Amino acid sequence: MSSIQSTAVLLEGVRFTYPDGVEALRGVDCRVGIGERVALVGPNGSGKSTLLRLLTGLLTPAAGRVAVMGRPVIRENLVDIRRTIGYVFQDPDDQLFSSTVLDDVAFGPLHLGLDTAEVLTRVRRALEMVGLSRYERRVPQRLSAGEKSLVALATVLSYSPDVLALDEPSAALDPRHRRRVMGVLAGVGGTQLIATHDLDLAWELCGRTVLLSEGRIVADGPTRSLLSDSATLERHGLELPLLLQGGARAG
Amino acid sequence: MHDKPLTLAFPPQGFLERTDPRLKVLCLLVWVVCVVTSPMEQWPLPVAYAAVLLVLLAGNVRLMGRFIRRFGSALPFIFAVVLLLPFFKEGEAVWRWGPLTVTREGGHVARQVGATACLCVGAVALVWASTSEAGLLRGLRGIRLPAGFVAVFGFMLRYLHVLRPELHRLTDARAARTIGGSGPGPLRSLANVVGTLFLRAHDRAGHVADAMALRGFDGRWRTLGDHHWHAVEVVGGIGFIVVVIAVRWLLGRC
Repeated sequence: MSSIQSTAVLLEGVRFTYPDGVEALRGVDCRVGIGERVALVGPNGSGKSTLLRLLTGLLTPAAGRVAVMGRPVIRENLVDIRRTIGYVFQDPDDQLFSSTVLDDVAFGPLHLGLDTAEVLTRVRRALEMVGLSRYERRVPQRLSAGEKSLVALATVLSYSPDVLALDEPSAALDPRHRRRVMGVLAGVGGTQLIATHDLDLAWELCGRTVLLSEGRIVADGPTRSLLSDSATLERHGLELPLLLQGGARAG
Repeated sequence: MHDKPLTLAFPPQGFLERTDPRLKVLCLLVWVVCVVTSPMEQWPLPVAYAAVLLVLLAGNVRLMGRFIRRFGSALPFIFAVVLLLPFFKEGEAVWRWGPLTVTREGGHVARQVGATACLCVGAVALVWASTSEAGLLRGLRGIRLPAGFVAVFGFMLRYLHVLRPELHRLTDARAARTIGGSGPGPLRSLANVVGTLFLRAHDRAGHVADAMALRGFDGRWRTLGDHHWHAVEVVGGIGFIVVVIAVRWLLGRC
């Protein structure tokens, strides 16, 4: 398999500036292979969410090239790109806009043009994957924060995207639901990009970590070695994962 | 992994709650048309309509609290209109006080409007009290309202539950930072709360639009097909419509 064929996500010299003049990305080069699970870590405002939004075509880079599964992310390709990538917002209330869980999880497959029977099969499978198979008739506003996060995941799993882009999937979750979300992500497989401040999640789930700071990639490598490097982490406003902090203190 | 058993906020009980929302919305439409076109000055008509509503309520006593809350929230608006109408309609004066004049025709119109509004709002409150939000949307789709309109109504219902706690947080934060008192200060901070809430709602609307676009929305609404009609419900609905039309036709001629 050639390098391009095995590439799920490609960013070359990507720059992005918001209308208020904030330069969010200042020349990012990154390649994510098919099936890789990569953590995007960095302090607030480092450009993690912006990078994910560029992949989905919600934002357009000022310079550089973005491609997902071999297709450039440009206006003409957006329909195909959005079938390929599933983006999960940080706040599940942004993702869950329908009156029932069933309608929300069915929204993606329905708008892919699938017939009702296939849509219902996919909805049931997606809810089963997140462990909420009996939640079809529930209303989103009556779910707990953890349940909302799991349903938000199901809304993208239902159309089986090749790439999952997750923005802070464990934010504001209690330990039990955080563990459930991690279990689902571990079980799903496929290419995943996880923007997170939860370095323990990155440690457990991701083989590779990309450290962003001030719109640039400052480190990129195996999670276990990058997240053990306290000097690099501290230089960019981060700390060792909690599970290493005990060891560091004892050491 | 374990999940909680299915628990709905209001598990449907009683025939009105179990009735297909599409049928309820259809019956409501017929009701409104009959009531609005009825000559309310003939007292048996509004009394008969009110009796139909009361019979429905009596058969679904569990809904009483919810019905009263919803109906009660609309009453001040109805009263405001009914109280003002006699002063603005031209005609034979029956009472004068300075520049204010109450006319006989005004009183007549006020009675007509008051009765019509109470009966229509009462029926809406009954349907609303006996139907879940998802059911209401299904009912509106069922009577073939434009999908975009139903979706906007759905967003409104869905995000009221998100914006209300946000409003509470903002007002709490405002209360924690203001001492109270009179003058423009508290008003200004209240205006700030309203402005902030608007901006947050606008911001969220942008995120929701993004979430829809990312899941393939191209401006055309697609929804799951509705369930089939149940014969018993259809017969019951037709029976209700026949009763309402009969009341309108028979008593409206007297």
